[in-house]
Amino acid sequence: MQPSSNDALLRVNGLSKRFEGLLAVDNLDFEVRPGEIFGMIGPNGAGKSTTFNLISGFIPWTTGKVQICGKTMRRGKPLVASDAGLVRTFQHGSFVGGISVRDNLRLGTIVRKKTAERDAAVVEVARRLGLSEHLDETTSNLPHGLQRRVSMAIAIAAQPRLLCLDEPLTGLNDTEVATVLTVLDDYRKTQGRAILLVEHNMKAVMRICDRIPVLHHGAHLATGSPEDIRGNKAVIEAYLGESHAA
Amino acid sequence: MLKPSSSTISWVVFAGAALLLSLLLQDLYLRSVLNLIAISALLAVSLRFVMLMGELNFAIAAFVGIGAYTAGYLSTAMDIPFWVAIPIAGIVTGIVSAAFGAVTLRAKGPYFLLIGFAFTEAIRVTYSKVPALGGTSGMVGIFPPLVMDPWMPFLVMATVVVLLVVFFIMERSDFGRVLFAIREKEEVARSVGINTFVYKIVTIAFASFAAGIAGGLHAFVNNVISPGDFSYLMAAFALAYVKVGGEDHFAGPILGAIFLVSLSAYALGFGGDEHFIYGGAIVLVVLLMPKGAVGAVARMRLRKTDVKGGANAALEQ
Ligand SMILES: Nc1ncnc2c1ncn2[C@@H]1O[C@H](COP(=O)(O)OP(=O)(O)O)[C@@H](O)[C@H]1O
Ligand SMILES: [Mg+2]
Repeated sequence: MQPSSNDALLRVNGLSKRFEGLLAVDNLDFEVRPGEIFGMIGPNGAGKSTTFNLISGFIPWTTGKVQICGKTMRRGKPLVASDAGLVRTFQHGSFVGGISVRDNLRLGTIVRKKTAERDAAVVEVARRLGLSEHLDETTSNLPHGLQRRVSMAIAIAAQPRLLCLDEPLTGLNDTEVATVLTVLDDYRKTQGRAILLVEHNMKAVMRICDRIPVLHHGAHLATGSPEDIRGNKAVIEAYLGESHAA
Repeated sequence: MLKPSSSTISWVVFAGAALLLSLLLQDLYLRSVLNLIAISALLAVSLRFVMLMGELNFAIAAFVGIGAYTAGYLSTAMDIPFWVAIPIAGIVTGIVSAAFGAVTLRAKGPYFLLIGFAFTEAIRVTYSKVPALGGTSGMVGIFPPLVMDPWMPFLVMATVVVLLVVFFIMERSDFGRVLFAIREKEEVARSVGINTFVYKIVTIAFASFAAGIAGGLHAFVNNVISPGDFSYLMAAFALAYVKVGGEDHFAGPILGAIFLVSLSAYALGFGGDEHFIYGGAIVLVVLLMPKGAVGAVARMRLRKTDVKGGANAALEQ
């Protein structure tokens, strides 16, 4: 358990999700504070994406309590979560393939920006994520790495206080990873924002995250700084393996 | 994409020609064919508009009927003039469809399509059971004021043109982008806070407003309506216009309606059967031009153009 603070962007208490016989998320407690990148890790099937689905309202939890920017969420209500300031991406592609990159980014601006401001917002997000030359291409024709960035750009265009990214670096090359990490670092430095990240790229996670919670079989295994996690016996056994311990 | 200016110019020329034709045509039969083309094009565009969000609106026939009966009842039973009855027909239809959508669009899946089908037939049976609506024989004597009579083709065409422009603007705006997102990946739209349910209701309500207007116009140009006019076959015909013209482009359903209505009007002169023509046209198009006429033209342009040149541009349009 972490010490509690009143200005947490996300506070989760006793969160559980049961699918038939499987306890996919098991009694989680955590909070995400302004300015931090909170990097959730754990083996495949640990319950990371399910946790995203629960806090963003896309599926109803079995038990628990979720607060976003002080507002108590209702189970299975994505609009309540997004209104409160949480926007999430989906692990397996968070974009509309049949339309242009520009139109995809535009989707992110619709709720919070006036019509006249949307063009400029799209151009700005595209510039930051290195998508400027691809704005008029059909998204399904782009290589995987670009599609990942489009997914992220849609969420960033919505300017949420809590940006939740589910494996945004999968399939990106080193240059692309560096671009994205710079964008994420800038994003969290903006007043009152934070990022909740799920990612398997350990080098990136260790470099950019402030606190790292580790999930295993749906349950919380440990939370700590990158150094703490790297040296944690239980984490090494469950997830990192010996190669990462050095 | 074509440059907006050149495509806008062709649209304006096209609409102008249609309006001019509606003023110049004197032959009564040709005038009725032109009215039918205009009304059919409006239905086809309305059907396609709902298809943008991935739903097939088979209730469209019921909505045309509700518009026609509303306009007919207002005109014959309450003496409400044509220019008031038509907009009321559209509004009533839009409200009914919003309620219909609120019930059927909550869940994902084929409910909207299936219930739409059943709804069309249920509404049709209702007309035939209600004496105030003329029962099985329908309503007669739905006339515009006498002075308006010569202007009817123009009024029909002008109304259709205005509604088509609104459909076009909605499709090309952020509203249309959200509809594409709903069709392909609704959760992306929802994740950034877009209330997709509201978009769906507005879409069905506006599409049905137009269908109701089409029904009202149909009532006033035919002067007679009966329950059989509004069976599910009307939805099937509208789908034929969309498929034959091509559903990927706004012009598709309009061209499909022009082609199929003209063809069946021509064939009727030789004792042809319109069901047969429509059925045959759909089979041929699905086999020969799976993307409809507009898609086939785009592909032909693609073959002609240098691959380096505007090849994709032609398809993307
Ligand atoms: N909708 C679902 N129905 C049944 N089981 C599910 C569902 N979604 C996830 N699971 C199961 O829950 C567990 C956690 O999955 P997930 O949250 O996707 O893990 P992670 O993202 O950490 O890899 C897995 O065993 C997965 O099979
Ligand atoms: Mg996952």
